[in-house]
Amino acid sequence: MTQFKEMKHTKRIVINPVTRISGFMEIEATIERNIVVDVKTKGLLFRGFEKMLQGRSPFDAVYFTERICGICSTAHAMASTLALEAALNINVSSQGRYLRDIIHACEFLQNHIRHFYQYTLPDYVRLPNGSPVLATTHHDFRLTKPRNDLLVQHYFDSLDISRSGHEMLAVLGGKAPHNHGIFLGGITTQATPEKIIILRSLLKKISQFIDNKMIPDAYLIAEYYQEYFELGKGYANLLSFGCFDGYDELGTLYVNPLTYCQGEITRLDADDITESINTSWYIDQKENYEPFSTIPEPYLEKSEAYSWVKAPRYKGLPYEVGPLARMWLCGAYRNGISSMDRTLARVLEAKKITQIINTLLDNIILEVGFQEEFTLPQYTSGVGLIDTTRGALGHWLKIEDRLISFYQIITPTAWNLSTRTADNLPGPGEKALIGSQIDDVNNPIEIGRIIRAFDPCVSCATHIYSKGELIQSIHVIP
Amino acid sequence: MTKDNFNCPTCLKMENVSLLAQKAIFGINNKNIRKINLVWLELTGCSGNIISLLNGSKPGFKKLILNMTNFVYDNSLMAAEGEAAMEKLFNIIGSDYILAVEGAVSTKDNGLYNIIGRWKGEPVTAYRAITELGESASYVIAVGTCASDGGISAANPNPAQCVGIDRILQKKIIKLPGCPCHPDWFIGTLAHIMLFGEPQLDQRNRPLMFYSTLIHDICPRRPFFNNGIFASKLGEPACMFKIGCRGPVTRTDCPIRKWNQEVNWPIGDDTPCIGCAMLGFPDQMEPFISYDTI
Amino acid sequence: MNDSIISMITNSINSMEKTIDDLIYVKDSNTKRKLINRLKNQVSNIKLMATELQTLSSTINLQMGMDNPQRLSRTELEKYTGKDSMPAYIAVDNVIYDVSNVSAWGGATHFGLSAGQDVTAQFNSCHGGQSILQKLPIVGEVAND
Repeated sequence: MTQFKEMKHTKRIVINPVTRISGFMEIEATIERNIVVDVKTKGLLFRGFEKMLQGRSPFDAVYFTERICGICSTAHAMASTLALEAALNINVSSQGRYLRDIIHACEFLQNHIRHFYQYTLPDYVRLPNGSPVLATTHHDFRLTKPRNDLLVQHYFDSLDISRSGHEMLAVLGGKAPHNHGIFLGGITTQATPEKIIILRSLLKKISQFIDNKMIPDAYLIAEYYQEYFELGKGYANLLSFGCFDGYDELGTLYVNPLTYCQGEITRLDADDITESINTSWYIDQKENYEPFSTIPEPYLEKSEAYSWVKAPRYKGLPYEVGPLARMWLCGAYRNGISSMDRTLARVLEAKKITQIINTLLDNIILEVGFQEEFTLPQYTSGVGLIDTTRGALGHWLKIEDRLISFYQIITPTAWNLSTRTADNLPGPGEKALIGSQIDDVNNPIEIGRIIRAFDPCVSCATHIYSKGELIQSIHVIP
Repeated sequence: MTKDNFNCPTCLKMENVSLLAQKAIFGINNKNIRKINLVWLELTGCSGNIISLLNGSKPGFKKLILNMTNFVYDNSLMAAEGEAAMEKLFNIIGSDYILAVEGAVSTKDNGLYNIIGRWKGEPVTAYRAITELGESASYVIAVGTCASDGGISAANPNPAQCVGIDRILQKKIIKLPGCPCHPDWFIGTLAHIMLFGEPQLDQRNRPLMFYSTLIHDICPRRPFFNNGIFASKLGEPACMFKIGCRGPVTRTDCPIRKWNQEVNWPIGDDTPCIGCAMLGFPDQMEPFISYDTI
Repeated sequence: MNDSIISMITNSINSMEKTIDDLIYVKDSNTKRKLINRLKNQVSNIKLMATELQTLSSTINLQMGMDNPQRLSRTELEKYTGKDSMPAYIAVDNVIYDVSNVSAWGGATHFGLSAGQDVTAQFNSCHGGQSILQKLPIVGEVAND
């Protein structure tokens, strides 16, 4: 149920909390004659990791930034490690990359299974009465009873599988969430025969579940809710920083740093990334800036602002990131760009990730150590760009006197749930919602379904920043 | 010697959570004890503790929500959204419920740095949620270091002015610090409350059954420490004291219970303990990684 | 301990003096022999007590840092951070302790404090009344600069 104001044929709807996401979001939508004509997606959490990171030991950033998010902490460990390796000029061996990428891949598996079953399914499948947390007020359940019951069964079966995803992660990472294994040079521990056997065994279980249950379940829902192939199209601008790419001997197993705009795929140029704070709760001399140049201060009194999420732009335009962007850019999925396509791409990506892990495992050399006594230069800077569970993630850092002096983060959800810039272009999530047909304005279930397909993580939309000067940045495109 | 009369304290420790949970579920099935209402509030944090809870296997989440508790509210998992979700939260006040809280409480600008919902037109800040739900709960459990002591949400200079929930509530709080909290620590504490009431707590209100010994005193690498065999970098099998291991000042049972179905743990991964369950994490546990210590 | 050994030695020396006085005036050879034996015993006792004192003294020297307790100014103390091949020292109430191998000082830091400093205030506010310091190796004392 939502509250609404009635003004002629216009209704204002507020949904808060948008549940079954990571973090806290409000959606405010204006609906005229059952069509969403305007919408604001609002990120409602700010902690200020930027100021926190200033003055700390650079190595600590790997574990510190993990705590930005509980479901994708591995993503931040990856990005901060890459940024530090760039800053310290560390060459990582292929073996180091393979093992680290296996840890990263496990996070994808855990996330995608939980996102499909725990976050997405309750919108389409009637869950049993056994627990109040599973009870909902909407009635748009279209699956036949046997099919509904089967998916309910899978909802519960998936708990063991996604848990196994984190178990896999911990084999090399020590624990999950907030692993210890990702670090400069590759991973901290070594691959042993025993670990590989456990990994293969868990991977097999997870792969079978994805192939036999998750993918068919996703297509089943798509069959009954076909209008979602028309809803939530957005801009159809797609971007990826690349992941599981550029291996010396294996080439690119997934996707390179690419963008897609108006039918064309081009190589990403990280210099064209900017960010704006026109409609977010920050203040700075610059309303538009490059990642290394400045960090705005939080400022709740800004009148036209409505969110803590900033507005990342590529060549001045909003871009969507995530599994659909990746699958599209590497050519693995070209069915369409819509709400349902986002969900399908995510489950298909999970399968692709299992194949990537298999390939990486096949190429592991056992008992190789990657760690050194790393030393910090007095002054340096580095960038870590990586595509991760929800999309493109970047960390930009500077080191002065061997301590962190500047840290900027642009998260995938900042791209997807971006606020508006001065040209009043809505963010991709907002754009996806605008124009959507709402069957029952008293129960606008479509809004939650469309926005959840982006897999929002609002804890991540908190940026890290500090006051800094523009200096030459060293870009690392992994 | 059989499995029944095998009295190894380590093994017994490993069984404690399964036994408690099984007993609780058995008690519910036989109608000896009631299923409690469980409200899980995610406040100013990373929401990693509910993910950690999903990783539990003693019991798994399905049994937890179907057989062991009436799970009423959680931002990450509940089917209802918007006003309907808020209704479930505010309507529980007046009934008997246990409140589990993860994340610290942002107090800057009247708590507006963290809004968790909207109820009857007004924003519900984390601050409002904890004050309204906290005092009338039968038990309040702080899950994770942020809720217990401020944690990383309150790291210097604490831009959102976060504090642990004990600074907001008058009520006694059972603290389960950890970053995240191990699912066993939560499930074990919950089962104990259901069966026997409040578990034995130390002077920081942490259950003794999970937080009594220092990691250093039960660490498998202790012989290395005793013999002065120290690692100078990560990835070595020796004691990581010189790299900055916080095992000597951290009280959890990580060396025994380990993580993720006992598959591994930080020190087992050839990295030091970073003291994530301690008062003072992260500021006073840093630097996490130190090289060049003689 | 030292005091009781020293008083025992003093007592033995006094007895020896008395025995020597007696020897000067005794003519009987049997009595002379007895007194000489007594003297020999007293010399043995003193040798024994001297050995005891020797052992005690080297133990103290060990705790005091190899016979040469150091005197460091606060400025000099700052170098002892546990890094750059320097041991980790801290000062509490003007006594300098070596925490290089003290478990609570992993990486030569402890709850946000770095080695090479006077941590008297923090120690007293946190550990005042506890017997922690007795177990720490002493390097010397702070020389007030």
